[in-house]
Amino acid sequence: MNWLKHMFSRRKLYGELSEEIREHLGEMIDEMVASGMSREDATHAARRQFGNVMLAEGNSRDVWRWAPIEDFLLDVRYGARMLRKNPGFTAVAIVTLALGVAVNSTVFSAVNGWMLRGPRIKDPARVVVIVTTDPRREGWGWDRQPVSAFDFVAWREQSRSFGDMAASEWGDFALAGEGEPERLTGIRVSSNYFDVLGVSAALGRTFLSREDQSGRNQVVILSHGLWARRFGSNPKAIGQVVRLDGEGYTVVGVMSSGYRLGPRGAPQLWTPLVFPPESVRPSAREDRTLEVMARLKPGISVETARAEMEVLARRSEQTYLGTSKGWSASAMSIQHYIADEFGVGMRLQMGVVLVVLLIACVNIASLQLVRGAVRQREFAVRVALGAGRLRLVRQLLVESLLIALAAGGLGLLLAWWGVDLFRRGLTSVADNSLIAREVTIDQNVIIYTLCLSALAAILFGLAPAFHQTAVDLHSTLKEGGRTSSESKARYRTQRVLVTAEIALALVLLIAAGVFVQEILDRIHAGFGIDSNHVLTANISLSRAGRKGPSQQVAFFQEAIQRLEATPGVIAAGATSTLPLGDDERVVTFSIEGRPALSRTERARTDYYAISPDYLRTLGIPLIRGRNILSSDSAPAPPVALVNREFVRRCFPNEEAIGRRIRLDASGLDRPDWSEIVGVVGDVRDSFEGRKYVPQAYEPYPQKPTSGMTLVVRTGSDPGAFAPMLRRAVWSVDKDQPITAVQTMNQVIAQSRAGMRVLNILIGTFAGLGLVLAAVGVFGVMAYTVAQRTHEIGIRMALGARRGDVLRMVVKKGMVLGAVGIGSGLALAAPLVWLKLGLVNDELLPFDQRGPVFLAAVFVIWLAAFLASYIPARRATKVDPMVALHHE
Amino acid sequence: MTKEREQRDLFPGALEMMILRTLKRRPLHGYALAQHIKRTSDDLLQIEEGSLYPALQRLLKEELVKAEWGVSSTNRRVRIYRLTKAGAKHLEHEVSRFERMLEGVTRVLAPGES
Repeated sequence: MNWLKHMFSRRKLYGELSEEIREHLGEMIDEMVASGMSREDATHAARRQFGNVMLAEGNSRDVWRWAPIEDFLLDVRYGARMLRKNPGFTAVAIVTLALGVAVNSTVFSAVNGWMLRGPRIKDPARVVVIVTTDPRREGWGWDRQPVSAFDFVAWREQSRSFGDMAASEWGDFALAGEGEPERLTGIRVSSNYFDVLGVSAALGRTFLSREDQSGRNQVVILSHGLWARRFGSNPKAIGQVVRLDGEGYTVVGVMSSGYRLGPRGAPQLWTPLVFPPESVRPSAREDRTLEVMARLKPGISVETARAEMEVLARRSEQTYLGTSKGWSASAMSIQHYIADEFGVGMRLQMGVVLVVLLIACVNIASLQLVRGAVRQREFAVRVALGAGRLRLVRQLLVESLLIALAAGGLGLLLAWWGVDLFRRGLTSVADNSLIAREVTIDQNVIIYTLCLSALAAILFGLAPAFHQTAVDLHSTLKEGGRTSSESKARYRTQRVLVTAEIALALVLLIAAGVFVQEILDRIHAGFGIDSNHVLTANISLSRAGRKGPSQQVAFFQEAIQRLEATPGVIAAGATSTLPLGDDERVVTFSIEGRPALSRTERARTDYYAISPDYLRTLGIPLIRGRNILSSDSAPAPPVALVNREFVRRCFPNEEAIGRRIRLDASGLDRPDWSEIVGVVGDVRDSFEGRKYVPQAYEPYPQKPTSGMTLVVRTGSDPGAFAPMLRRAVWSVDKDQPITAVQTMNQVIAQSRAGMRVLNILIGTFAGLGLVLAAVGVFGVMAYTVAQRTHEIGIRMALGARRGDVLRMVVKKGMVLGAVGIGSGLALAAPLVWLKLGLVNDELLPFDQRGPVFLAAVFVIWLAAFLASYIPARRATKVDPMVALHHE
Repeated sequence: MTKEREQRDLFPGALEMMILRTLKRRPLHGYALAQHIKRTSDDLLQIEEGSLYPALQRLLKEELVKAEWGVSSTNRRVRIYRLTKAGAKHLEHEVSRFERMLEGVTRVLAPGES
């Protein structure tokens, strides 16, 4: 408190101190004069005897101060004043850093939302996900396959590591009743699901232990959002009956709005998961559809649980020989499971934006070095007045921190906008809108941004601070501010900075190039369909009256007929899976006459159940044989079409038409052999995939499903046809929900929207980084050459030719460029092997990626050349006499 | 700068002790204080006069001395420092501590005896 008291009387204290010291000196001088000295000599003698007046006064003042804090505040005030006095430098530094910080915050907000923000469940560290692992180890996700109902039941009983084990399965539900019929995404869960997760309902209850048995399962828990939307947040919703898929379900609970398990979007409702008897037979061991979670018993580690799961899987394999050969099981923590889903793509993004930030830091560091030359006198004066070196370093770091703070604030504003863009990009894909919601600027992001800014300040501030404060007092003050005698150390630092900048820019360019190349490759490849003038719509039959296969077939036949009868329609059809729109459906198959294999050993193909006119509607060409006809109905002999890739892989030197295959679709254990009647063109089933995969088509009346996508080829704008499509479907059944009405071109655009967003982001970031790097390299080079104007003048005055001088300067720049490119290539080397998570595992081979590396090197090389050539040319144009007089 | 520091502080607290001792005899202002210390030490101690002031401020802050404005013999407006009760006590304590320390050092340094 004394300190506080002194703070207010400080002005008086300091005044008295100054006066006292003045009087002291005066008295000394008077005495010396009295003893016969001249007044001038006496003044000098007195000063010598007294010592450094400023220091004495400063030290005396320090006694009254709370030094660390007050010095800091002083530094802040002084720093702010210096920054205000140099608005150009300040603005450039702040904006540069803000851009660097903003891109980092934007990407981090996604990482934060998807990977860091844990599930809102009780003690998530103790919850593990039980997965099965594919022995073929093909593709991403082989080590996290779902679990079959059969295995789940067995393992839940046998395992000893877990308190309890719960299963869940995503599903679609049609909600009918008041208002428009609606398709909802929900999860069917075992009755202990919420107990395992340790969450309870916000309203009502979660499921009771026997509610996952057939007959008792007509209960539903609503998400907070659905409750608010459909029931106006009315608590009386509990106990009401809603119609799901045509059956009455009693609402028993509402989850809280904060409940969240993973980033993959939020389910809108939960119903009990009932295992039909056939699903728990050994023959169904390979129908892996369940996501299984379990809570570890106290004292059991994830590793122990994993080991136990492996043992259990081996035991199952031995008990049920011939099923799931080689498949194993594993356990991983739920956090790990979630974080990995966004793995590689996000890591690449983080890498790219960090490089951008580094470039921004290097730029500011070089700017500060340049400015340091100007400020030499300021520091020399301060040292002369008794300031210690550390004090000056601290002062400069405080200035850097001020810049960083301002940049952090501005960066956050920019990031706010960036996150908005990011979200809007994601939301254009319906499936992703739920993911997009998780990308927000929360306190984590704010803290991250500020820490990152502070870190950047130290990064770009420390080296210049040490260089600038290494003041050669004598020469700096004596030479009257001429800074030709600049320290070698600063030159060295400048060279290092330029080299670093070139290297970073190269890495960025290569990363962006590789990525853009992958995407261009996929766009150019085409999709194998004619997507213009096609409208699509998703139909999921849900009414109780349409459960039987024959009713389903009848519905779609009628709908297609009504569509064909609508004016403006050229062709109409339906498919069980829309290429590029839905996730591809992959089934195993056998070929007649070849050795029988167990299901896991069989080859795989994309599978489509289609209506006769589907191929014509999408413009998929028939190569050989015949199309599927309307006569290929349920009672007729089963037939199939295959694509060229199928033929290439399975019948390389044989005629495929006439052979019979058996497709293990629709969960039937022993489906019939189908005769191949035609070969059709290849269709790309997803945007990411590069290669064509085998595809097989069967007439849907022979393999009916409840969910189909209608496709309509129209003579005019397909988008405008949407109301007619709805009317046609509703004329068959007015309660039938219709979802995802979009043109085929929209479907394609969305299929690459994820990549497009990533593409735009990485492109923007890389472009930003490149511009920053170019400005930085050019600035430093230009400055270095300008510093040599004097020297160049002398050389030219002594007879050096312009070409020689030019060559000399450019050579120096090119050496830096070469070193930078070398280190950049070393840094970028891992990009050769980079696998983008989104791109499955199919990347362009390296010999196609080489040109990207070459092009990037060339661009950087050119930039380095220009950055030294242009200033050098300018310098040599100067009249030697002017250059010599320059300083 | 390091040289300066060597001269200023013989050991931490020495200057303060000498100031207190001098002020115990009679109140003095800064300049007179400096002259007195110099004179009595026979210029053996090279004390920069400027270093007196931070020490005086420390003593003031700890209320071991107090100061009031007065007029010196040469008719200057000066601040005269006076020992407080606490200061006298502190001095006593410090001196005895110093003497003990000195004795110890002397014994170790004394030749021949052990």
